[in-house]
Amino acid sequence: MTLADWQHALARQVMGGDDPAAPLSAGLLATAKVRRSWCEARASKAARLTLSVLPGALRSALIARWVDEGGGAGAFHALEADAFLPFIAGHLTDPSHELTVCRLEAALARATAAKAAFAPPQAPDPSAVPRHGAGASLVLFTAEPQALLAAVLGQGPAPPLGDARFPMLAAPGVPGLLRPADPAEVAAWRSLSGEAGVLSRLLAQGVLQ
Amino acid sequence: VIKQVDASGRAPLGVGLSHLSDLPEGFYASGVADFVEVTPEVLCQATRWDGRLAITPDRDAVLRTRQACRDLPMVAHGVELSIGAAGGMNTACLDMLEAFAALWPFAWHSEHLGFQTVAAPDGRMLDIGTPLPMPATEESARLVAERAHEVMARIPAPFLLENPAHYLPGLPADPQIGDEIGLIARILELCPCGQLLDLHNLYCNAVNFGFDPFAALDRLRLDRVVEVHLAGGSWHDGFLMDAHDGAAPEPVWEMLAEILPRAPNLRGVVFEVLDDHLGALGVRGVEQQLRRARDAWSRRARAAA
Repeated sequence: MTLADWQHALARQVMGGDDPAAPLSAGLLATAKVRRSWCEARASKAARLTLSVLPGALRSALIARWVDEGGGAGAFHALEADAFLPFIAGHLTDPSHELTVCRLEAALARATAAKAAFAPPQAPDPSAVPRHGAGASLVLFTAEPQALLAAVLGQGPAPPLGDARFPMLAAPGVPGLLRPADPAEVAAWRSLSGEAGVLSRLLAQGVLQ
Repeated sequence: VIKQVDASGRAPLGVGLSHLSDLPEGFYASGVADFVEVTPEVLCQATRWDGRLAITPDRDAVLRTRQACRDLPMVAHGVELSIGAAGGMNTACLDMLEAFAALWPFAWHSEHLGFQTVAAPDGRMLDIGTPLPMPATEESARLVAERAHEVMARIPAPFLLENPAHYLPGLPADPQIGDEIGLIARILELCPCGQLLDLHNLYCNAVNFGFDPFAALDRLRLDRVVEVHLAGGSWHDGFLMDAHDGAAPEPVWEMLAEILPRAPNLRGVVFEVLDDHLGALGVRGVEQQLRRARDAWSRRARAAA
């Protein structure tokens, strides 16, 4: 057996194996247990804020399922947050305060990660096609942001969930990483979103170049 | 060879402590530690673009930590290189170390002898989630030695490999290499890197697998040991685990006393404890461990004089 084959086989056994019911030696069981506790700890840390607003049983179940699916294995907080928080979001009611907190935490994790390599452009390039910045996100709050954040921190009651949306921009160059977005900024952000975005459509049709 | 591991002419650093973010302000200025050991990845941000991992030092975090450590000499102790992974080591760590050294130069840097990634069928590296040991084979030794050469060519500071603790008895072994001690010896034969001798890791393996740690010390290339790690552990599931959760046990101190006069290129002894367990050990407990290490270190210095 080559070293690569041996490493693959050992990794599979430690990570749960092709056959999770197959008996493992005491050493493999202990190693798998250590691995699992590390993965759970990394996942918990990557979604600390969101998990703190969820009921205990749901919190434990989401972490367990995420680790069962191979999550929590990477050491870097931002990468883990970028993967685990969307997984959590997929299990939350839309709209809900919990989902807003989850999206906010993901946006802040991306902005924080991008901040390490961020340098404000010296002068805008007029020939450049604008696109969403690395680490930037638009988060739509379903309640007044200050009131919701105060509630998350246990400093006030949860505000009512309303129809109004409060857009917030998270980006590496924003002081404090987060601020309210005005309507023109929201329109600019949306014009760049996805294949159906206004700019994409106009560029594809030769209206803009 | 010794000149490369010893970076000849550089003075020993003395007694060090792994960086703990929860220590009281001013602890590192108190004189209880001569240097600090930092895990660079903890002070970095990682991004993935088109499947490619980039690890960037977080400038603010690095400079804040440097200031908290009162500019003590620093050694880097990496955790993400996966130097023994057959599918390729994590070269983003080398890019990161170059950038990190520009913000906070290190006297030497070290990594764990093992692997924690495997290559997926599409070529991407998958994290296993825990470091795993290498089999004691010629293939392992040659792979790690070749990678260590690559590391040394990229990063100008001396590079050390650390012997790991693990819980997997009966790893495959070639007869001419034999066991983990033989594997380290063979790698050091093939490559001029140094060794970070983790005495608690060696002690855990000795207890768990039933060998004599002092006999193992006799088989090591002590002339290549540049740094020693001390730590504590605890029993879980029938294994003594390298949990970094308390004071170093007596046999580890005895092992330190045994090797200090026999490791001529040793430049530092570091006590490791995890932030999560600082509360249980206490700041006083950390100070006691460092004082005890300093007593041993001073006896060595006096004997050498």
